[in-house]
Amino acid sequence: MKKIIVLEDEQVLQKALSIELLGARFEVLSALDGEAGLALVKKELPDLVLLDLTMPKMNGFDVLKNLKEDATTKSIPVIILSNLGQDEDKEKGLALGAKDYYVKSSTDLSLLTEKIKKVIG
Amino acid sequence: MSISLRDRWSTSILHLSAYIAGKKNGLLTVHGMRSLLNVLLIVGAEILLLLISLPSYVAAQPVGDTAGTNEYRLRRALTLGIIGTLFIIWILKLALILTLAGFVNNNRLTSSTTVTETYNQSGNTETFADDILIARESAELASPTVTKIQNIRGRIAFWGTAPANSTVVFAFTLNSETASGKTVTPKIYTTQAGADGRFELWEDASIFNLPKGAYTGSVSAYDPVREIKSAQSHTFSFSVTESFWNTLLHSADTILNILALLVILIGLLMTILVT
Repeated sequence: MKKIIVLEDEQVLQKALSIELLGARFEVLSALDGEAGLALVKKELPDLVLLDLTMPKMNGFDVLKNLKEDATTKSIPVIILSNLGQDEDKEKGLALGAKDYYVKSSTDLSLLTEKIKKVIG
Repeated sequence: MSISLRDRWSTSILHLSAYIAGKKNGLLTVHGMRSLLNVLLIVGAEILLLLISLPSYVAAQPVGDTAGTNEYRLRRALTLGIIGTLFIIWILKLALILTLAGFVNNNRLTSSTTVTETYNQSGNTETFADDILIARESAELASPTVTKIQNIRGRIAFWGTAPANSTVVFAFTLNSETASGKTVTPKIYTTQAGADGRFELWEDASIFNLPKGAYTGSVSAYDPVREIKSAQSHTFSFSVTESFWNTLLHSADTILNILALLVILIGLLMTILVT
């Protein structure tokens, strides 16, 4: 079973994402802040990281940068799911190595799940 | 690709939380009434999010889902506890209504007549109550006497003596109505005296059931054959208190409302504290 780590500080949404991904037959781990999330990814080495950008302790950009600078985690695909919808945020996220960038307000989770399946199929 | 109910549900949570985040971010950029409106929208959206996200607390803890376990367990326990309590209270209430309907119907009157001003002035053709009202008062018929009033397992019962085989007419007035200075409408109930002159009147939901309060009553006898009635008896007083089951049923409504409010407030508070 493929393993996904969800880094999302909003607990209600984090649970909804977990349930959605569990329903798609993924193993799901999660963290509610950037620091704990980074440690969890380095420990678990998941198949994919679903990353929020606005998080306490360490924001998503820093988490992404850190992952991509670490040889053990740089190959792990990261998909950003954020409230930040500005073009510069998208460009920054993709430039740092994110596989894709989704804005929460306009994302259908069934499409996101399909995308995740394609990435780690 | 078909979109499942779960997809729609989780997507609606995603969009709603994005909406709340957007409103929160924009809170500092607006002033005055627009700011107040935004606060109200955020509170409304938070409540909606809480309600929509309830299934996530009912669902089992996802395997390997490590984040916020303690908060999640607390929220889940609280939510399930409150929902469970609400459900149990509803079931109990339903059971009480189905099995103890007699205690619920406080004002249902079937075989008695309430005399009202309108009724007296309507010029209706004679009815039993009219017969009693217009019957000639005669000393030939002795006034009944109420000898005992007792509350037996929540039912008030009256015993007394009256002329044999006469109709015994009870008139009750609620003391609070008398004190208010309004036109008092006595409640009239009848029962039948036996050949030995004894009579009983039992409070029964299907016959009469007085709302709670302090009452003054009097009683007279009526002979439908001779169309005469006796003078009113001495007055007597009694109080009707709500039965335990009625109190429980009424309290259940209040408890339900408070619990429903608690569900919303606790969820709202925890959402604010955790996010």
